[in-house]
Amino acid sequence: MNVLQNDDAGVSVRGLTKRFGTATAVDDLSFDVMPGHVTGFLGPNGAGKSTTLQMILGLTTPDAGTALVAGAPLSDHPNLAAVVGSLLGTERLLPGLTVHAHLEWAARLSGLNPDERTTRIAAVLAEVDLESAATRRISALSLGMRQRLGLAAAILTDPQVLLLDEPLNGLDPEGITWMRTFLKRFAASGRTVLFSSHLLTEMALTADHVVIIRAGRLVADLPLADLVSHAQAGVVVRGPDLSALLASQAAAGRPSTPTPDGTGAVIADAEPREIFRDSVRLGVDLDELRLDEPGLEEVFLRLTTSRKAR
Amino acid sequence: MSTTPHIRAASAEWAKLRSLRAPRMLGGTAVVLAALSSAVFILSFPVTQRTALDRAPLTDVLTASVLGVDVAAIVLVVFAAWFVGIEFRTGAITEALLRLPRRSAVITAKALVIAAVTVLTAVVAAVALTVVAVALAAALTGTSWSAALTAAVSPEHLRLLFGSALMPVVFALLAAFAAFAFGSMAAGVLGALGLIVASMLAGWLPAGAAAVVAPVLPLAAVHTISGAAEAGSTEFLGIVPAVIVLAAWVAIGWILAAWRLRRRDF
Repeated sequence: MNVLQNDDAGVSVRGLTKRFGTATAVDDLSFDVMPGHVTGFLGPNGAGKSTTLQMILGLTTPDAGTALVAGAPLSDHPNLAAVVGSLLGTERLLPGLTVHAHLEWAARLSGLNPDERTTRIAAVLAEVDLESAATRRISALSLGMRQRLGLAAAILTDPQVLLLDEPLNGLDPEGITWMRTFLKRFAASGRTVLFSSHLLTEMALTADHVVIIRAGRLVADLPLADLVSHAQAGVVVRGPDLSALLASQAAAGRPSTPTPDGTGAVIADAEPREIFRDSVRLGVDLDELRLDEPGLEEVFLRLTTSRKAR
Repeated sequence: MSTTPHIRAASAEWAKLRSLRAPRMLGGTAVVLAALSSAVFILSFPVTQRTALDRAPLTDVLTASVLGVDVAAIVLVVFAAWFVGIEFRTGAITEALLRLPRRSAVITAKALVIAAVTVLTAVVAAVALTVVAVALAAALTGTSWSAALTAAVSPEHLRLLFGSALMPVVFALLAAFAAFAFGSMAAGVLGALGLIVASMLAGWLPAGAAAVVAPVLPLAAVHTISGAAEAGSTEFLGIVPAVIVLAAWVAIGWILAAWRLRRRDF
């Protein structure tokens, strides 16, 4: 672990810890979020993702550790809104406000002058496709529209860093595609994106770097492509009776584990042609023989599910 | 980017207030209830004061009508507590905290907007109930319109009327601070109403205790400034001490709210 803060990082977390009573929600967490990448923040329910984001944003005080945004604690930045934009949940909107009034409030609070407010509000409404709903009250918006309004407020001041907690919730397929494109474009402009999501298929399509936590502790912090390739475990076989084959492979120093669905086995450190030759030699019938290439969901489950639970 | 955080926040809260429907409804309700209740207080004068209206002094009848301001105060306490409490109930308070370098700026901004709204509403309510009071007093006491109006705009009555209008302003601010301190509308309402009730109950304490407790409570200061508290009564402070007491309560409320909000995790 690099104990020194990374000055080039958009977000740099070191030793972040938070306890609620006797429960430790975040436990000595350290990672960097670099600009120019879309970083996914993954973990099971209750892993500490939201608590971590809140500590980075200064809404929750950590018991230990530090979190820097653009090289300094967020409270040290004189103009917070120019540094970071965030979307923490659609419920954090006053239902009685109109779409335009919410953005007007956010723009005034952020210090935009009247001309800037008019320009930026029009721009973000167009960006998130809410122009036609500008005079509608927030209580009358769908969940997806509230998500887009929250994002509009987050980008109102064109911040350097974007922190999003479950931004894909409530979006229809078109909205998800839009959000994916937006986040990639935002990061491609040299800025920093950190977003959490349960939608692992979307995470795989959107993020190019992932930070995975479990029970408040770091489990993985690496490029998404490396994560999947490192997780390749061997060869998957399925058949009516694999016992002879698995015993032979185990004797050769290649142990096997059952597949998650229980209908086959994954033989570690094996090559498909070796397994095929062995199965022919032993007369073992195979219904399936392939390289184990787990997707993000499979990798995530392997990393975040305990062996005991499996 | 321009202006200090406090000015930005106050400007933003003012824009927010103008967009929400509830503040307009509550403000209108305060004015209407002030006028209606002043009529009730006048019409019930024979029961409460055991004197028929046609034999009652005009100034006493007009004085009774001023209690309508107290009714407006309760509605404005609810408004102030709601304007703060809804931020916590929805979590919207975090959106403000994410844009301001100091959390206390939110409290100051809300307080400024609440003070402006309650001053304006209290003045309108005072005028509305005076119109009702003059009309009823003239009709029921056998006094002419001009005499009733002259009494209503006398320095003493105006001092009572607009001095009493301090009550909704001060208690609305205290309600807002209590709502910030404990993160709920209920805390704001109960805190402010509790202070009002405590002020009333202080007069029932044994003489020695009442003389110590009553003068430091905000209601005594309001009554002193308005002239409702006569010199020599347990509530009477003197104008300058009364202003100091009110300022102290507002300052203590702000400090408590800022201290609690600063320590709160969201």
